[in-house]
Amino acid sequence: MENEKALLMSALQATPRHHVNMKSHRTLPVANFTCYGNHDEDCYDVQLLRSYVNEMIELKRLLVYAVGDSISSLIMWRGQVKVGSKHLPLHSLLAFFGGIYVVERTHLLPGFFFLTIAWMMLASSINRQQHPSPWHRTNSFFYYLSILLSNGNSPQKQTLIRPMENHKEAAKFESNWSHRISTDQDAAWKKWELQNEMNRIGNQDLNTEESKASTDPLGENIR
Amino acid sequence: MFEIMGATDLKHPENTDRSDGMHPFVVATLHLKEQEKMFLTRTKRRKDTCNPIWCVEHRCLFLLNITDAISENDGTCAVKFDVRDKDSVISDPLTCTLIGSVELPLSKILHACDKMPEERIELQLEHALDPNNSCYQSKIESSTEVGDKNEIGETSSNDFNKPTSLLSIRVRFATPFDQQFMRELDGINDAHGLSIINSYWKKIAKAVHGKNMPKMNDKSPKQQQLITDKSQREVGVNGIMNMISGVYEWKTSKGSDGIRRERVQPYPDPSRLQETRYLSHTEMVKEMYQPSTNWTECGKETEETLGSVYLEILQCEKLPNMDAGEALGNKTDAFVCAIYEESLVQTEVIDDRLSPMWMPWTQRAFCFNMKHPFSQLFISVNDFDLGPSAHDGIGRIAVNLNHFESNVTYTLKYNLHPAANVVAREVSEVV
Repeated sequence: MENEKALLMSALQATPRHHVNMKSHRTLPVANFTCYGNHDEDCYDVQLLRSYVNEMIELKRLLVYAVGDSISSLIMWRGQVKVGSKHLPLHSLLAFFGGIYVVERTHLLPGFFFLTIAWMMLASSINRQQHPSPWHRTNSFFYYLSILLSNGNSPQKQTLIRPMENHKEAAKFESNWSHRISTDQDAAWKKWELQNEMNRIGNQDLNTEESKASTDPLGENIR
Repeated sequence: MFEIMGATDLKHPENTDRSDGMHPFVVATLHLKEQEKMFLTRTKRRKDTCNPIWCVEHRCLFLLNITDAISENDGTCAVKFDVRDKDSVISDPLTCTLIGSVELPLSKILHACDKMPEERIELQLEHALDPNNSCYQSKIESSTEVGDKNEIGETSSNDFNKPTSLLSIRVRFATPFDQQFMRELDGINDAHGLSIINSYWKKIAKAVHGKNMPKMNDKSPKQQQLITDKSQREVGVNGIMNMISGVYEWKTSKGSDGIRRERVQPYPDPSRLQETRYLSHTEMVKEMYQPSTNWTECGKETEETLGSVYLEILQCEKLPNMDAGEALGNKTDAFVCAIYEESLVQTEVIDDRLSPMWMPWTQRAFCFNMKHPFSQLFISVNDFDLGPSAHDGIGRIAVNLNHFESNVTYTLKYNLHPAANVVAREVSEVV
């Protein structure tokens, strides 16, 4: 990479349309398969449709997890940002003081709304940087800022990743995540089965027979 | 120098049902002032298609000599492309049914030669039936207002309402080589085929370049020939030769140390023939991770180039057998195709292996010039087949390179899928 700033700025432009020329007609199907796969987007295909549905469901599931985790972490003042060796609830602190400041100055609400968007993006970036595996981490906001302020390349040095660095922690993180997904799926599956059972029972007439002879003399009056 | 590449979605002006049965061809004329015309070229007709493609043998190339008289009036001069349908054998080509036409002013041609030489330009064809259609005209005008590239009437990729009939051309300033080639090409009779054109091309290239003919060596970027571009005859003969040599050359060999070694595909290292003819699995893996010695540079380096992407295809694992006759040792003949921006590259074919490995001395390493950071890298694994049927696609992946750090070498392993959007995801019936 010769100029990181040029690369960063070019990301603002739309992706150009590319044309691939080939000499032989036998190359065209190979190129088509490479770019689009063996599915015709213009024809109705249940498998293709279902794959799109599954993709959306998967994205929705990830979004639900991300939003749910963020809100619970924010409300419960859990450790969010690693400072030194400790995780401090800095986002909760910011949300609390921001909230009590803006609640008496409602004219600042639009400004705070846009600030919240930037804050959420920053929080997401910080969260990704705290992934145990260094291969999953992203560059920080300050890295990109340093590129913009420099003439070409960022003055920040590239972090060297050692072989198998944090491998155990990353594997544990991944297994915890997959365990959580499978547990939730099992729970949802059981809930669905229970609901089905309830629906089946709900269609039948339910009667509770009561014994006429009662030992409680006040029972009839109280009832 | 102009190249008429092809047209898409041509519609017959009188009978839309006849669109697939059209025999379209293009007539290019230069329109001078006071309705004066100059004939430039006429391509050959392409039979029974509404998406014709014209090649060199179909007279798709022509030169426009810009004289002083033309350059003085570049505002009024224009090259007009008429796409016509050869509806009967005896009809005059210039009076055949007009499918559509488009005019390209000289100023815009010169602009294209200067700013975007050899790039594909798609021109919207003005429909013959309704040339004064206001809706259609407004689309052309709006498309010419958007962006720098659309100055020459090129279609915008974001324009979903674009008219479908398009004519694709390419232009560049003609070099002395082009001029000599075109002079020789004009002398070729129509009845001659592509082979004669190719032989003329080689002859002229030798005459023009002479001693300065570029020579390929290990240090200069190599011209890669795609495996799917090779002629069936050449590949077939090579296959038979390999088969014959395979009879005398065992696929596996047991050395004096008792370790079973397999014959290295597609060929051993030319600098270490004896050492690398047969290798054990461990030795192959060790060799595979050695740095590549045969790099191919892809794409043109221009001012817009942001950097380079280096790709090495190492191995595939557990491929399905796509060929019949597994018991006889006939298995998948795998090769990998990669497409990045405007470059298409392919590795060499590894015959009869379900877990093929590409050695450092084979064609497996490619260097792409990057023009946009969000360009995706598409990679597919295919089974090479001889015969009229297409090569079988085994699986493909799309790699987002913007997820990677610059100046970092990644060794990655991807699961292959028939299509990027069709994956074996878990079925979420609960939701």
